[in-house]
Amino acid sequence: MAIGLGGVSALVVDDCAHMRRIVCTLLRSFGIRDLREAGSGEEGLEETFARQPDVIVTDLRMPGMDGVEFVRRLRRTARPGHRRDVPVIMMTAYSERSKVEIARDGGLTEVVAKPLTSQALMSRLIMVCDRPRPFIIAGGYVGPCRRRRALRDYSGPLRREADGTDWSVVEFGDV
Amino acid sequence: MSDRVQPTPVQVLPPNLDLQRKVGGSLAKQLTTAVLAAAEAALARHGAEMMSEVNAAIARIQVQSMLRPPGTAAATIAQDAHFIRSIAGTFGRGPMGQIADLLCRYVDDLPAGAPIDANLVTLMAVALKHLAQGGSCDPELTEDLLTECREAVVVSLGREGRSLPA
Repeated sequence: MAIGLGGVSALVVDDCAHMRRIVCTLLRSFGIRDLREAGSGEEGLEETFARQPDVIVTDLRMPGMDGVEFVRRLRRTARPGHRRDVPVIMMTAYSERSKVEIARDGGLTEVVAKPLTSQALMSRLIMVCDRPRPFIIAGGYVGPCRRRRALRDYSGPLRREADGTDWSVVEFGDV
Repeated sequence: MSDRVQPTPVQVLPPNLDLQRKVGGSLAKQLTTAVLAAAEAALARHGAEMMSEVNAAIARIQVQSMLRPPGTAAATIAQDAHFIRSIAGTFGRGPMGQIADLLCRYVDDLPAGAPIDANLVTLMAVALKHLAQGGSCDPELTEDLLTECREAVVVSLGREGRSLPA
């Protein structure tokens, strides 16, 4: 069995070539060798459908199709061979935090704030790899379950089919 | 009686473990402090080149702010401000990123064709240039610059009937 990120493929979507270089430098340092780049949301979608990367890092703000729309389309497109539940890490800047909620509803997996640091990107990668969440396909939302943790004292109604399933006990190798 | 509310059709798929399978288990155990240090070192190798690009972006902003009629260059200024905001902090120039962020907030919601506040953009460009030349070594001065820039943005936005987004 392969160990490390050597067998993992990643796609970096950002209109800024310099930012793509920074992200690729970090991902390469973490061990990812199969790296692809896209300069726009449109290009990112094409790459995703063509190559099905294991993880995607995208910017939020891009001219044309922005990061939110990119993720939304990626999640809502059902076609043979396309993994809609591919983990997506979105980069956002200081004043874009208000947009994070919108982006979350678009189906992103993790957010990493700019200025980007190696530690922050690493921790998001660890999150998407080690703590994957169930994937929801509903009329109004397609994306990872937005509940990050089970509230033991939650007393509201249980609306979801999967309520009662303890995903935390689902470990690698069990599924 | 169950307190489960009848759900609208929702499909819940189990967590995708593809990455874990490819990685061979826990990634946290594999991405060690040594890997992090190597990543920092690799990033640092780009520092000089990136900061040179940042300096070029500051110079462009300064020139664009002087163009007449003012406002014709808002898109270029926005692009450069966003670039500085993204890059500067990663290379240890956090205050520059914060000033660039203020500039982004000013230009981002500028109505199409509206004139930019040339004085404000010049002020921000001067502040950025000062910090780029090592001015951020003095924390007190840096804080003052940030405060000045923030206040100037608030005033300009107010004059244009806008306010600083949360």
